[in-house]
Amino acid sequence: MFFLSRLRLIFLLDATLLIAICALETVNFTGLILHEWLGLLMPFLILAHLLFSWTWIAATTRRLFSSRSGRADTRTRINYFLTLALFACITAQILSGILISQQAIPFLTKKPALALTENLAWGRIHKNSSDFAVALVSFHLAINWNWLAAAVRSRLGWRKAGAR
Amino acid sequence: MMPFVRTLGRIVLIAVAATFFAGLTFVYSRTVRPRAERREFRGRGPREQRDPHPRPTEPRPGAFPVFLRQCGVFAVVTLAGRKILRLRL
Repeated sequence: MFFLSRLRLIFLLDATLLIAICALETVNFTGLILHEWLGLLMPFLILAHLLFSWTWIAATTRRLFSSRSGRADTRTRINYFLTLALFACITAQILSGILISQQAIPFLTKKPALALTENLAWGRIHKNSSDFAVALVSFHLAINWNWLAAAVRSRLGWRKAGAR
Repeated sequence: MMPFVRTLGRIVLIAVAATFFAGLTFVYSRTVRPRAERREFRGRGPREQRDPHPRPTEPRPGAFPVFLRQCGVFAVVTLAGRKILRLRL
C-alpha cells in the first residue's frame, strides 16, 4: 500500500507551491484563465503549508513575544519576520488579484468583470506585490535551505530504496 | 474531535491574520495613484492601452522559455539570499 509520510507530503506540497508561484509569475505562459484559477487555489495551498509549519510558527511566536520562553536568535527573528512579510505580500497579491480578476471571479459571481482601466490602482498593487513576492519567496527558500536540502536528500533516498 | 477543533482554531487564527493584512492593503490602496493619473506619466496612457500585446487568455506552450527564465530568476535570487544569510547572524 502506498504510504505518504508527513515529510514527503510537506515536500510535495512545497514543490507544488514553488512551481505554482513560478507559473503565476508568467501569465504569458499560463494565460489569464489558468493564472486566475491557479491564483484562487493558492490560499488553500498556503493554508496547508502554514498548518504543516504550525509547530515552528507557534514556538517562534512564543519565543519572540514571551519573556519566559528564552530569547530567539537573530536568524530566527529574521526568518519569522521574513515569513510574516511574505504572508502579508501574498495576501495583498491574492486580494488584488481577486479585485482585478477578468475570468475566474466573474465566472463564479456571474457578474461582469470591471474594466482594467477602472482598477489601475489594484493592478499596480498586484504587480508590485508580485515583484516583492519573488524576492521574499526566494529569501524564504534561502533561509530554510538546510531543511530543503535534507528533504531533497530524504526524497532521493526514498526513490533509491523504491527502485530495488 | 480534538485534532479537528485544534486545526479549526489554527485556520481561524490564519484567517484573522489574513483579514488584518487585507485591511492594511485596502488602507494602502487609497494612497496608490494609478500611473496614468500622475503628471509625469500623462500622455503615455495606462499599461493596457500602450501594450500592443495584451495578456493571452489561453495558455501558450510556446512561451515555456519565459517560465524557465522565471525559475532561473528564483534560483538566482535564492542563491544570492543564501550568500547573504550565510553570514553569521
